[in-house]
Amino acid sequence: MLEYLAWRLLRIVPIVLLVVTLIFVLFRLVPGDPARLIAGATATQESVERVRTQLGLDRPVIVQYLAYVGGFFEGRLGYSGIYRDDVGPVIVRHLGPTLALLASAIVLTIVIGIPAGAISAVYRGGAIDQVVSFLVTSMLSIPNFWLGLMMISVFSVTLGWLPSFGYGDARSLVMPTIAVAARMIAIVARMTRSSLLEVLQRDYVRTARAKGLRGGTVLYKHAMRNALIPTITTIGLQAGYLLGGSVVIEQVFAWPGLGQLLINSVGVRDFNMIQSITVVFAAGFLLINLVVDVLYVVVNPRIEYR
Amino acid sequence: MTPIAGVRRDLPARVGRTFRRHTTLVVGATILAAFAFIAVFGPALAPYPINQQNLLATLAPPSAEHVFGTDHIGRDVLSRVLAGTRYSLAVCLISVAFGALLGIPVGIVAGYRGGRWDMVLSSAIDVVLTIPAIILAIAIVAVVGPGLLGLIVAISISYAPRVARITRSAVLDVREEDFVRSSYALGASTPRILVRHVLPNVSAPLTVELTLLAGQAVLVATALGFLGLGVQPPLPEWGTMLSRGKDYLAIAPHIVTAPGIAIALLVLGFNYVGDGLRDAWDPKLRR
Repeated sequence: MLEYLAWRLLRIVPIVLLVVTLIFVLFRLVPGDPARLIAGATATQESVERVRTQLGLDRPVIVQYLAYVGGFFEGRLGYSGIYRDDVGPVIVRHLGPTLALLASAIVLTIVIGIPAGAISAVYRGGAIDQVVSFLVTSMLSIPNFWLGLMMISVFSVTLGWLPSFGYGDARSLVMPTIAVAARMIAIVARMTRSSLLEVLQRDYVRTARAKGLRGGTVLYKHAMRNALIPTITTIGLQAGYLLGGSVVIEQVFAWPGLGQLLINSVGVRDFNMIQSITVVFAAGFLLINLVVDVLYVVVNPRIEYR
Repeated sequence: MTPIAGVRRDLPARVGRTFRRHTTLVVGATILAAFAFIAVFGPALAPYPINQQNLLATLAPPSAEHVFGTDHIGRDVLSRVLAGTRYSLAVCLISVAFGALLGIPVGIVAGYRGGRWDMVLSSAIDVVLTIPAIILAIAIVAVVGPGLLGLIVAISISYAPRVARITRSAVLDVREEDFVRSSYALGASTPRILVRHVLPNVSAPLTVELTLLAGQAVLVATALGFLGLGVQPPLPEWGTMLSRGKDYLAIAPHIVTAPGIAIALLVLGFNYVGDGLRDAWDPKLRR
């Protein structure tokens, strides 16, 4: 198992390398002189030139590229003219709140989405199924940031139950978590419902029932285990909604995480920061999918890890 | 069997049956048709000029004169939502069209040629897809600059790999069909096979997916507007309106109500049409 994990982690490296390359190429397309951008619009020609040599922008593109990639793997992510510091430590400072938000959103997705889908499959066509399916359809259409605004309007402004912004105690986590997770909960519930419905029609479930096993045992031991596999795949594939959603939702709730840092950096054209944050999110996506692969093995021991 | 003469007489019954069988599709199509109508005639339907300020009635709650109230400088919210329809609809349709134009050829080559081509193109697609769509879109806006053009470029490029992946898997299914192989055996050229046999047979699943992507494009476009990176004020774009409305949430929550409902309804329309088409074309997939 450890060997498998190490190997899977290793396989992420070339993909990250390609993402870094893609982002490097994309940001070469920024119109204007990067040295002037960093030095500032009012800087003299001399200080622009000094910035250029300091940051190595006078070297050939290929050398710059190699230096950039090399730096990435050494943890030097480039200089931020805004923070007057390397990008790396600034990102690390903003990582905590985003990780807290994502972790609680994933937990909420699993705790709500899977049972909701399972219950509506078991009571197919019943009142609960109808309610769940209505909520799923709504959550797939409502923009997450608007859901956030509406929750603030009801639970903070009108009822005064929850803080409307900021990062502090557990109560401040409630609304941002729901707003980030809503779409994923809907996707997971929908997937769980349809895959459980399919599994419940399989022969081995009928056999288990015929043997006289109790309904609960059949559901948990036979049906759910197999139905969960497509659900877990979906969580991995759609993890982008969680990561991307957190960026928008952080803005709604003034959550001091990576998303805020990203949007502020776009505003002040801090390109090194934007590039690195983009790569960090791509790496996050890959790591979530690594966890998903490991979960496969846990849920279904038949799948061998190679 | 109904006699042919009875077909005409049964028309209402048949319409009723089609509606019952494809409720989602019909409801979705009706919603989209309504939005298309508003997009074309929006400013003409609006009760007030969209930029007319009334500083004596700022942040006014909904009333008979202003059905959805007024914003922070006294502009009529309903008028702005109606007039803003064309931006959201245009952005999502144009970006999905460009995304399809970029993605479909890549997907066809990867799926049809297979082998080394497929390996290279699929890996490239997978690499781009590791970056969440909205974050890639934000990065592209940072390069291109905010505004209508940046928005369209950003969404097209972030959706192209998704279209490519969907096309590829649809082409893989069709490639091994007998009619494709026999056409090849008869000596048809590759472009002819692709245009005459492959493309028509992947168009159904592609239409479904592109419709669903259009709904998601609305969400990304309005989210970027909300973040201040999309259509710039004073254009009445829904996401941008929400972004301004957020500052007045405590005293005038009505400002954010109407644009949010408009976004949700438009996305719902696309989702319903997408799901409805899938059910209509492939009964096996009916949930």
